[in-house]
Amino acid sequence: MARDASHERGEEAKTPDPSSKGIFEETVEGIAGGIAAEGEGAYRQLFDHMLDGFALHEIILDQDGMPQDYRFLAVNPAFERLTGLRRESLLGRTVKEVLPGTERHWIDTYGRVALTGESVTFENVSAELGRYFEVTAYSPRRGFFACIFADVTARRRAEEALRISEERLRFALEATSDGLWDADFSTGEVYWSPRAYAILGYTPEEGPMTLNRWEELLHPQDRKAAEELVQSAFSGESEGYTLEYRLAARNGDWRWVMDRGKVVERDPSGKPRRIVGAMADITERKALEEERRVLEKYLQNVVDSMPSILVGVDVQGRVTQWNAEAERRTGLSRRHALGRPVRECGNFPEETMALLQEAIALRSLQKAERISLEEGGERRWSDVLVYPLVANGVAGAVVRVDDVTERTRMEEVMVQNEKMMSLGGLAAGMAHEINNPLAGILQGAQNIQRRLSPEMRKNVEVAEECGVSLEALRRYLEARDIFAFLKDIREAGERAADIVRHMLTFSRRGSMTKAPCALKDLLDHTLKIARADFDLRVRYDFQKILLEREDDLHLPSVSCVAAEIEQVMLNLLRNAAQALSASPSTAFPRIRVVTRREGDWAVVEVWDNGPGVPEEEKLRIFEPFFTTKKAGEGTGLGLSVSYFIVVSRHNGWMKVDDAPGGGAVFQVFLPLERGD
Amino acid sequence: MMLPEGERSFRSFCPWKGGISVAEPWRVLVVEDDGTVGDTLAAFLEDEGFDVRLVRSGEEALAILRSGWIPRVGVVDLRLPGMDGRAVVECARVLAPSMHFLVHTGSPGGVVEDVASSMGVDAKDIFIKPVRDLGLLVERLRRSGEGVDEHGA
Repeated sequence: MARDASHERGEEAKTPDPSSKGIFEETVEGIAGGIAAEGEGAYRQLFDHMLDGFALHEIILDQDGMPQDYRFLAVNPAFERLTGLRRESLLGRTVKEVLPGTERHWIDTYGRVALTGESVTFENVSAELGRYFEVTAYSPRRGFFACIFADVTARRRAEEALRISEERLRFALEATSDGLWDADFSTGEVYWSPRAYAILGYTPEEGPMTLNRWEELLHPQDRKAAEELVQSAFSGESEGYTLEYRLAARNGDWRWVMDRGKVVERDPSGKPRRIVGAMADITERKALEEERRVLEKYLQNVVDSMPSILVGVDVQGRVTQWNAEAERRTGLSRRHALGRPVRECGNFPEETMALLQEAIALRSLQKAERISLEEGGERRWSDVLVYPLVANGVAGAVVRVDDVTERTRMEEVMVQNEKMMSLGGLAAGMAHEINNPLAGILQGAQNIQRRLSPEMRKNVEVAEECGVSLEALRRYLEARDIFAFLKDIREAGERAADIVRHMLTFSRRGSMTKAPCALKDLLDHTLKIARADFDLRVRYDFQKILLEREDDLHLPSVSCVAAEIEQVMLNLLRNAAQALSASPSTAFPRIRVVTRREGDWAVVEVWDNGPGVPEEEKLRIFEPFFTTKKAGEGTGLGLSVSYFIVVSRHNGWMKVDDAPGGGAVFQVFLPLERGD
Repeated sequence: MMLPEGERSFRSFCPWKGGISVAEPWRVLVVEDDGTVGDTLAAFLEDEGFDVRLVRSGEEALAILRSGWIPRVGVVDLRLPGMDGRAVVECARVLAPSMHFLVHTGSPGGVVEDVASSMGVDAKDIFIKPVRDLGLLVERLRRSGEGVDEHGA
């Protein structure tokens, strides 16, 4: 800036002629930076059209030489615009006249400029005008100063707004737990908000984030996905991305983040220059998701491992759950079952469908037990349970089908056993009640027979006293079959007594002591009894039957109650003999008794070559009172008593089979002592 | 008093020819509440030559013992009105230590061996009604009663 010699001279300034060109031109020249413009018009044009406000002033000093006022010498249209003051009202007047409220500092500052030649630039506010100005003040000549100033009110407001907005953003950032980041691809620099660092346990002071550093922190398994997404952003395919990936935290752990980024700036070629994003720490969420996944798998495992069919249905009866057992039993995979109406998915009995409707309609458990189904050519039983889902607002039902075939069969066997056992209670009650009358019958019959005997002297004596010949009496009785009747009474009574005695077997309480028996010896004894047995000898012509023995001489002893096992053997022999004598077509009736060992069992087999046991009888043959014998022959209790003795009292087993070549074989299994 | 050897063997071989009173016939006390059973048993025993008394209850049996009529053998039912057969045997042993006992019952109420040992009798002395051949009972009665002591009749 050209310094006028007038500064050095220190002349007191007088009010110049506003139209004085000297100072004006000089000033404008100064503004134009020494560029020579042709003619006054050029200067004038510049003056009038420049955007910044321009005002030329003369400083007014008081008697001490201190600035106390200044006078407007020239102002441009921009000045008028910026200040709202009119040129006519300013020129020739002082600021104190025009703007009485002008702050002291303006005058002081300008005064300094005008007197020292120092130029200043500052921002300041004019309260009266309500505006912010950026002012450059300089002195073209001592005692004078020019101001160029711009109204920066708008800028200031914008700055203020920005500050407020930034503050808001910071509060928001601090309040949220997202970390913000801003990546500049041209420089590779990345801004990370403090929270972003904090997510990984770093601080900004430890070093700024860069793209390279970020890549290094990325989990190797996630790199590929991250690269792909960045690629697609780069190629312009996408404006942004969302990705979950892992970053290495300061302490070595992996933290999961969910990152959402957006391209906010591209260079002229379209390549993204700036991507801005927010990063949320989802490590906890991921952990919970993993837990949930594990739990789901575990539950699925539980559901699949159930040996029951488990099928979930919605209210329309479509399959929503289909466990592994359902797949196995119906042959339909889960994939194919889901979503289909359940009745299409398997051979479910009609009852199941009905139960389903009811369960859902009534919102209560429905069940049906022992539903019988044909499955794979055999009869199976199932228990069906349907329960509606009433909790958690989920509607529908669960169908559970349990195969209870084994259990049902076992229960039938048990019921059978129970039948036999309950006889015990009945028997005990009846036995001693019946035994007395039976004793009365049999004893009475015995007495009658004896008192008719001629060998008893007393009989003869009393007959004589009565005037009767005992002999004649006897002849009468014989002729009238009285003796036969007596015999019948005795036999009938004895048979009744047998029945009672057998029945008492069931109720026998307490243990008969078991002792080790050699089965061979036991059978020898039994056969001795058999040969002497009235029934066998007379009824079944035991003598005619060929009896064979086959014994395993190394068979260990069996712990048993000898008398009871003998009873069983005797019963089997009687049965065999009876079967043989009932079918005279058998030319060479044979009974074969075998003892052998089978694993942990001692086995006694009684074979006969009679007619055998028909298939439908095999099941019932051990039932009490089941007999195919004619009335008067046998009690029907023999085999059931034997069964009871073997199974219940000796923990053994008994069965009947067809003998190859015709006939039947009864097998008795008795447990051997462990360690034999 | 001991029976002469000859008498004893005579009697055991010829049950049908009872009644020869070379020696006193044995006293037998039958304790049985069932009418028919008691009557028929007593009749049989009488035919066998025994001096039989029949009572229907344990109390009556003890009364007889107290009166001084001491039997050689008692045939006792277990189920009786009032005191049961076991109690009869126990008390009778006190009143008549020389007495022998047979049990004649409808159901022993347990394993025969156990019942026998708990009553202090031989298992073979327990007979379950109905006895098909009373001769066997009498045979056992004789064997049992041959245990001798100074109070025996």
